[in-house]
Amino acid sequence: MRTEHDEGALRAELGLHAADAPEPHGLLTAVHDRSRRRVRRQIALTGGLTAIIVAGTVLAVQGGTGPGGEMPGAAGSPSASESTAPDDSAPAVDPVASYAFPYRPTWEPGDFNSGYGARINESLQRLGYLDEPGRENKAGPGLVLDLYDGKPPNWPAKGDEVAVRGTTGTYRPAGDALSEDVLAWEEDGNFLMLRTRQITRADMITYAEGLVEDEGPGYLGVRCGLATYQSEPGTVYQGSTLYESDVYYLWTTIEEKDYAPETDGSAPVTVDLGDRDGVLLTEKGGGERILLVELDPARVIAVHSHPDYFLTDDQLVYEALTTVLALRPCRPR
Amino acid sequence: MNSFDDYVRARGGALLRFAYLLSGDAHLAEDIVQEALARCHRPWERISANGDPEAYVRKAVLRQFLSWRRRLSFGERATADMTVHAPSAADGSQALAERDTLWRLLAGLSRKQRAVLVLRFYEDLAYAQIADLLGIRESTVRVHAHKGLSELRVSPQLERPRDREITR
Repeated sequence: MRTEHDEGALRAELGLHAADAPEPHGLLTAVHDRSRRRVRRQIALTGGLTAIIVAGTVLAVQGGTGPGGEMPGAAGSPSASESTAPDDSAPAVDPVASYAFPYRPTWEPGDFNSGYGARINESLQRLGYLDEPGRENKAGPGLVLDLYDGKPPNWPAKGDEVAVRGTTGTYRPAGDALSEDVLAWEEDGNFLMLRTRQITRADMITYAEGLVEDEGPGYLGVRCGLATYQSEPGTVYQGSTLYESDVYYLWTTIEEKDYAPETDGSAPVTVDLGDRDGVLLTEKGGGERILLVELDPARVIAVHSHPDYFLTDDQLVYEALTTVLALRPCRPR
Repeated sequence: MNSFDDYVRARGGALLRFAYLLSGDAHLAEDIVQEALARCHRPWERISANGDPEAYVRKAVLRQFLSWRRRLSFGERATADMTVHAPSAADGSQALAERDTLWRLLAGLSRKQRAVLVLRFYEDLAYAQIADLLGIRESTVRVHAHKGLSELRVSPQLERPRDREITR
């Protein structure tokens, strides 16, 4: 067949089949319905998360637990019997348990495990990994995907133009101003930034291309242990071990507000946790990195990382964030 | 055209035809267009202020289609789901049978080849415009178009309906 014939046949074929497309009757109504559902979903996620943080903080201020580890308001406690709250039999949607990052990776470079998704604040959602390979080297590969609903101030202004996900993105390698390689692109009104260490540009693009618009990972390790924490400053209430060893590589304590570990003299780094600020310190001597986050006016959360294992700032932030979220009754997951 | 509703009323049919040619499935075309428009609804003021909402929405439809194809690529192919609306060879028309086959072959192309061919030969866009929509180089668009057309030309399936007609 000659090309002209092919192209003519193709035009005719496409034109004929276009006539069989669905009619637009009801399209506008369907679009409005879908748009409203999207807004409601976003409000539920954001509002629910805020409610949990507020409720958790109230619990913490109240002392966390009653004798024997009972939650305030639990069955049998005075507050429960005197409660005038309506008996709402409809199960409440748990915005944390139901949260999923809106993209699911289908390919990951290397040996990344334990992907999690988290809403960091109203405008930022994050997909990260708790078990990054090569952590023992203190500078192994790292990968974090941030999704902003508006253009963030750290959006790369310069870089190489690259084709990614059907659009033109920006690739900017680590340099003097940046400690990470960044691949940034806009998609459906959202701004996505893939931040990596020791991962090739080609692998970054492959990772981005492999993202599917589907339910991705959600919160991992959202615990309920803090409610039964007997508040003695410095006690480890939650620790995480690596490779089934007995050594904590990450642990959390609740400290009094004036807790001030001796640092190595480096400047504290302020970290954004959405509704709260955190401060990252490096301990003198051992090099243990500690993230301090105000829990309530009297106490702080201290997330400690073992100096022999490299943990990213994001991992410490994630731990602190889920600690705050953990201030709630236990619930099977 | 500033109103989102006005835009949907005016262009909804064209978008559905476009999505239908991309996806080859009526229900999926509705899903793609509804999702793309729903995502454009809230930021419509900003989209329309840029002066070319049509290009933005078309790009959103394309992205939905490409995303859908990515999902399929991990388990199934779209080819078998293509709905054939044209009469088949059974009615004795060689031309219609060839169109039927062409439609099926089109469904077997890669997502970008198919998108390029639909944009080029249905939407009548220039290669440069297609490159802009897909965020790839114009030369890459030409390669996709060439390979897509080549696959349609060289496939032995194109000859089968004729062969069947002859033997009947």
